[in-house]
Amino acid sequence: MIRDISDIFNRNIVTILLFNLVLVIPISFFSFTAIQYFYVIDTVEMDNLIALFLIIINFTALFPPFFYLASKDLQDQPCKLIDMVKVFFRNFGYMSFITILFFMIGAFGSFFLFIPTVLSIIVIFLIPLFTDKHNIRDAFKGIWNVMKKEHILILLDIFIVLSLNLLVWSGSLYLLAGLENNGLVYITVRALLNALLFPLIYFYLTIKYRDDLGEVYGK
Amino acid sequence: MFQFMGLLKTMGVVIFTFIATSFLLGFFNINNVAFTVTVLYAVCYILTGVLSPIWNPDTPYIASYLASLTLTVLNLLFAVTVLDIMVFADPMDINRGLARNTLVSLFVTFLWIKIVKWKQGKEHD
Repeated sequence: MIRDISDIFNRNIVTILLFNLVLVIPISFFSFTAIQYFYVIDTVEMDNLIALFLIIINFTALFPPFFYLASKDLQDQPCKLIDMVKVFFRNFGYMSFITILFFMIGAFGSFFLFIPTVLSIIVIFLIPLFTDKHNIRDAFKGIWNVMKKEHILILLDIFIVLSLNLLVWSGSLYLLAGLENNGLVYITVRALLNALLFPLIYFYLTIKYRDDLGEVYGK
Repeated sequence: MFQFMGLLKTMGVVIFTFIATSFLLGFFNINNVAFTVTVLYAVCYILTGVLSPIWNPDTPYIASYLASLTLTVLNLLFAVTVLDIMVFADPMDINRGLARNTLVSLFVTFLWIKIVKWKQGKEHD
């Protein structure tokens, strides 16, 4: 599995790096500075939830272009940078709408023993994998099929992604702990880490959950 | 047939452009608030009017109207909850804002459809 991910990464390294420079780093910068702004301002209540929401939307909004890249690569077709940028802009509203909707359901679902929360976490996690469908209903059918097949193991994958982020984040903080830092340094480090880690996570998820896309790796 | 995905795409691009344009306007160090807001709103609602017929070719006017209405309401809600501005104090202000924004979008949609038709007619000749 890891070899296939690094294969895709190596084959499209220039495109991925350019896309990181054009969109991934600026958007991570924006979302983390927005988190800082929401913490400083006193008119907003529940700023922890808003911070969590911005981190999640940072993950989901950047997913579709990398999914497009991976699906093109699995079908042995070249992928240009401009196509990835177009895919990002085409799917930004859709991704934000679904994320807002299911984040609200998850936040208010804490009254019902956290069952809606778990379900909406899975939906938010899997919906970017079905952006090539032209219909919301088809996307939800795909998610339902994946959920029937994998049940609880999806949560394990979410756990893997979270702990990978946390591991690299804490490791990089050890390097910076002795220096005199302000918030901007941490934001920069986080944006660079996102640029490094997000493509790997996205390729892993694409290979694992979309085995109907052409040639299947890792089996 | 009205496509909900087209509406979402339009709104996503417009919101992204709103954020990017306001960020870029911050570099110019303009102290006139009215000018900045006017430029931002003109860019966004003209873009709404242009993009609606592209992603909703069957029902361009209703898509443009709905998109600009939703964006205006989102703007008002954001101003109330985050920036703590008393927007809802004056009903006439709300009325003016809604009417102006939707009219700009609808007018641009009308112009865009005319331009596209004119171009296609020219290609056929």
